[in-house]
Amino acid sequence: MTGLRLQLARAAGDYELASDLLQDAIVTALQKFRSGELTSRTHLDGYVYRIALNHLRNYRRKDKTAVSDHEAVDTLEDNVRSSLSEDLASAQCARLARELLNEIDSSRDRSLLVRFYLEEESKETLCSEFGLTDAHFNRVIHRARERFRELLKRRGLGRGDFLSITIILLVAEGIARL
Amino acid sequence: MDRAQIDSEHLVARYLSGRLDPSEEAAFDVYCQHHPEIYSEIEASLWLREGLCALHHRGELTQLVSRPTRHYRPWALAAAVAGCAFLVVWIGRLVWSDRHDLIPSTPLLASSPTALSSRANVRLPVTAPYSLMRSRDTAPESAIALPASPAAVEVRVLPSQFDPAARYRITLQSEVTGGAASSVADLAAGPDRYVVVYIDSAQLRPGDYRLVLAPSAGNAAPGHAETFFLRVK
Repeated sequence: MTGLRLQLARAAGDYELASDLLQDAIVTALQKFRSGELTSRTHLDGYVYRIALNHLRNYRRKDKTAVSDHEAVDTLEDNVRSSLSEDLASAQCARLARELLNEIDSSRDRSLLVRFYLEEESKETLCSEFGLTDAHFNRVIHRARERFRELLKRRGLGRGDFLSITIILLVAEGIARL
Repeated sequence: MDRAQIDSEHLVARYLSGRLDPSEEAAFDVYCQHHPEIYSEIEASLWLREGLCALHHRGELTQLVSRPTRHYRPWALAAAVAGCAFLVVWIGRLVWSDRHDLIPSTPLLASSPTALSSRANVRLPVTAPYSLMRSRDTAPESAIALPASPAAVEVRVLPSQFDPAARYRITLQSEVTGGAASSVADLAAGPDRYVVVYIDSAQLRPGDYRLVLAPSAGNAAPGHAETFFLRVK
């Protein structure tokens, strides 16, 4: 959930606010779990994640009404107030992204990846600009995505870590605050 | 909605950036509810975006992206293969020549110790002579002790019939291995009547050898071939 938390912090421009939003999501999910609306732990995790994602997407939609995509990347960073742990997590993300970019031989493919994931340009725009077919574009993005997931796994950031551990910590943190 | 559609239409990235239309978004939400494993993929995309964001704000991204394309160079591969092949041949040759040092190109037998000089042109020391002669009472056999270091083993053979003008051929062959015989021809008997030959000790192996003294071809040496036995120890 670190990635979501970091991106939420960037979108909200405030790490504390991002943490509060995640905690709200957890509390809501727990209430639904207790009332029987959510029946399993898997659904609980997913529900928390979905609510947090909705927060993220709402913030990002809001940002996009004011600035263009490319400017939004700068704006997100400028406003964020982060903690040490967030800085470390962000540095880890940066290291993995750097490793990925270093492994991609073609500068065109690197550019494609950045413009698709960071600047969020559409597939159609990029294919047209780089003269690529759909299949070629899919191949480049698929390879990069799979490679990045391998790098994450190699660093011990498997799927299990994303949800359970963070949620347990956040719940514990939430209980302590009450 | 299925897995293939999610991959081919990059739904995760588009979902995160709010680029799905409402119906796609609703369908994706439903998919997520039933396939919670998709969250790890969403999380991975968020990590990637976060990493790219961080690199961008550190000012590293432009340099990383604009780094020149690493071109595949076929000639470099060809050069590497050729280099490897050369190395293999060179090492093979070294090993081969090292092994064949055990079978030197110097002759086993010679009429002088100089002819038995080693490859490094080091003149071999000459051992004390071994004399071979036929006698009525004893078998024509002699024992030769192999010297500790390479040497020219001096063997003196006494022909039964002496003629100062005669020329002889001496042939040596292992009784154990039965390998090719070595011989040296056109040998003359000395004033003491002995025909002298030198054997390279480095090429001798423990066991029995047969030494034959015979008239050289084309020479009117008296008598016939005489056989002696050597036991190398």
